[in-house]
Amino acid sequence: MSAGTLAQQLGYSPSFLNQLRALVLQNKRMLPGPGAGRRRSPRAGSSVELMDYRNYVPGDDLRRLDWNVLARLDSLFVRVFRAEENLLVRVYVDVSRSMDFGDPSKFALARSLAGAVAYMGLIGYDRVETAALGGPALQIVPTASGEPGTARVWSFLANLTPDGRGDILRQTVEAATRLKEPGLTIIITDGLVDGGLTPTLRALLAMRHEVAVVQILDKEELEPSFEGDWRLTDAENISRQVEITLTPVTAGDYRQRIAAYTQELRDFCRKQGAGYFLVPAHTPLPDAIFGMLRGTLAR
Amino acid sequence: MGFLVPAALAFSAIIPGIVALYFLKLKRREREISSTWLWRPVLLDRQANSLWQRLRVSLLLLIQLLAAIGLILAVAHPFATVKAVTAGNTVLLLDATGTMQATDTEPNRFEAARTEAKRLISQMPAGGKMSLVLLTRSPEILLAHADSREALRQAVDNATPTAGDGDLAQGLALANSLLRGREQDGQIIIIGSGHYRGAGEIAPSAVPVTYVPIGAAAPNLAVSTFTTRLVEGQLMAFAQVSNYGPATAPATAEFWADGKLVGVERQNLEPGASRAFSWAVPKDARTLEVRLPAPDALALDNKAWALAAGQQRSRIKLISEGNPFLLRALQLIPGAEVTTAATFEEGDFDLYVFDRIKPPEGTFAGRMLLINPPGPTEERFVGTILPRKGDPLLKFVDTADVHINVAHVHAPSPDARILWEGETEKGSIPLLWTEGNDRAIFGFALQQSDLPLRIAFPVLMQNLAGWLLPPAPVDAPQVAPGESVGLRPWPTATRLDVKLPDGSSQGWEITPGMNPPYLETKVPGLYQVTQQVGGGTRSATFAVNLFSSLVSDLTPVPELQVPVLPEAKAVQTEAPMDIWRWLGWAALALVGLEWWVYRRGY
Repeated sequence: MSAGTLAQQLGYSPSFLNQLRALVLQNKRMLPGPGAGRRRSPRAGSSVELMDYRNYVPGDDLRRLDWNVLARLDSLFVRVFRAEENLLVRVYVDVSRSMDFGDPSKFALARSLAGAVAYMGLIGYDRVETAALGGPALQIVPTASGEPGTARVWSFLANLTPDGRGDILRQTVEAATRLKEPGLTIIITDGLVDGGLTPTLRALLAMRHEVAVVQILDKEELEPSFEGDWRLTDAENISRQVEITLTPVTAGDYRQRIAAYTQELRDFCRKQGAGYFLVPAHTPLPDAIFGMLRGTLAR
Repeated sequence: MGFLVPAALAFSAIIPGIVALYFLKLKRREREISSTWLWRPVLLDRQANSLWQRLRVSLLLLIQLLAAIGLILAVAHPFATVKAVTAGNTVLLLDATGTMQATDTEPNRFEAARTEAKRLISQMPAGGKMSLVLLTRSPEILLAHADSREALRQAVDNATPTAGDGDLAQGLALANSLLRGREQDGQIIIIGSGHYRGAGEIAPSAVPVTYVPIGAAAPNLAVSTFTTRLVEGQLMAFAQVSNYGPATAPATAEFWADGKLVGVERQNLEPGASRAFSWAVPKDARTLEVRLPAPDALALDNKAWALAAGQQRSRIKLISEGNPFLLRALQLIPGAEVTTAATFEEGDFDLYVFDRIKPPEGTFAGRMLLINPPGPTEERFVGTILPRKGDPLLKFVDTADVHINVAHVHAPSPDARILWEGETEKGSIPLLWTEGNDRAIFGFALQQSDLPLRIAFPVLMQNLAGWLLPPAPVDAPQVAPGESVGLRPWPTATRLDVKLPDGSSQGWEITPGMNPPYLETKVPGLYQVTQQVGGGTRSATFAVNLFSSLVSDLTPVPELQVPVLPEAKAVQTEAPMDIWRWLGWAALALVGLEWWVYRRGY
């Protein structure tokens, strides 16, 4: 399928894509990349930015000797220059069954956001890896770079369906360790997993990833409006049921719970230097992407 | 306790139904949500934090059952039997004397009596009847044999206290007459202060009498007398102030004349003591007032009024060419102001005396004493004077030594009352007679008789003047509140108006001979009586004063001794008291509580 068709499927208008082309994903820390690129790397390389000096060892390129230091100190030192590498961008989308909820569905927005972020990375000549977490098995698209990789990534996203009941934490670790470079990891999810999302984020942060979390929730999940006597069934596990009489008091208790959870995630991310964005599912795509990017991901 | 509608208890059959419905499994609707992860703690919180964890299922059921039981009982109309003060037929004697305006009980004793009366009305047994009598100087029935509590309460609310005292004997007689034929379950209840007239003249009652005292001992100074006297040519006002309170009190009395403060006097009064206060009355003063300005428990008796003596003057005009004996006799008439003239000129006089001068003819309607009116009449020599026996106008008039030389023969009117006849050689002729009720005629000249020299003359003139002169417009210058005052209008008066102390006025048209009694003397103060006579007005004033120890004595009477016939049975009554209203309100409150508990999700 052509990129144009896939763009329509994912809800991208030509003007929207033009706006994305003007933006570049911004990382907060210097991260080593898988290849040469245009971003500052913590490693040594051959850019023009002087990074450090080291003693000369036989075999070093004599053009790197610092003759002024030799003249002053009568010692041989070689100039070390910073490498310029590209960024490894990992875009993870939650495809668990809980994402197939709401009208418009949370998954639709999640998929479109993932495609937009991946597009920005690709046209910025970063290496973009895309994965779907929470499905029966980890689904992953190997890294791509440049605009030609767009069709492959969008095609992957367009064919995803949110019907998984998989272990997000395990699949995240599996995906994140495929490539040794840490990189920028953007995880798009509703965060409604047993035990919360914090263990998954800790795992990524332990691997020295720069993490950004986009949590998408439907308005019924934020403010339930149904009242009366209900038996609530978990979409990911039908054996989990809750019998509850929803009154203004119980609805208030639930709202406090969800607010406390999102605040807990926000506080955790802030303390760890990670990015956190709460996006209601009914937010239009441009408002969602540009609102996020105004945060930390774009300059 | 009992039930007026016991059949309603059959509704209790719904209680098992409520229990059964409650424990039927609650049908819940199914709903799939994204995750129950955050709902489970909410449910656990409600379960863990509920204070009635064990009773969570049954709290609502308990409230519903209590509400249902409350409603069923309310419909069954339960009542409790309580001892009642009132019998099947009760007469309430409500004290409305001036004492009940005392403020020792807030706001006053009458309000306290009203409250007590309403309490007794609420205790009236089902099927009972109650009558309401206002105990005043002339007790009156406000409501007879009423079975409606609402009507009785309304009548109590409409009752007002008076300023006078109360006649207990009359009140009890009235009450017993209302209960005639109903003595078996009859009862009289007196609510009041206990000070009444007629306490020693009470006929034994055929039914038991209960007395409910109202009030407490309180300080009270009262003006108990206020009058005027001429002392060595000076008109003096005398007021007596009495202390009806339980302690010595300083009494300050102010004396006012025609609305101006004239004097102030102060004395200390021991409890039960009375002291006299006196002041000189200013010349030309008409209305006098004494005031006790210091506030006490009863303001009604802190003022009194009087009229300066001698204001009621009779104006006599003597038209004569000169008759010193006649003039002197007229001047001796008490309260007379005599004006002399040689010719007649109509004025504002009570009596015209024409001495040998022809009276005016035509429409002149003044009262007249004619002495030998001129005219073509025959003269005769008079022998013996024959007086009319037993005539009141000749009382104390002794004609034994009166001689008349010559008299003229006049022709009295057919309705004339001949007082003296004289024997002459040609038969008897009238010497002195009256015509109508406004004319007296002498048929001889006083100069032709030795009558003016005899003691009979001034006596006769006094008698004639008393008959001829118009009476005082009121028969008493001062009365007690509630007492009637006789109004004696001028014979030619056409309208009478009475202005009350509060400024309001009552009036009515007058026909000759009307002497209406005036009964609206409820409020102490000065009343002004005005008559329209001819083209002008004549005024008189009378005072209504509360000089009554029965009213001013605020000492509470703990018991009233009322004789009761031996066959009068004490009535012990039990009355049903409705309690269904309380149950109904409780049931409604429980329904509200149930809604609140449900909404709270307990």
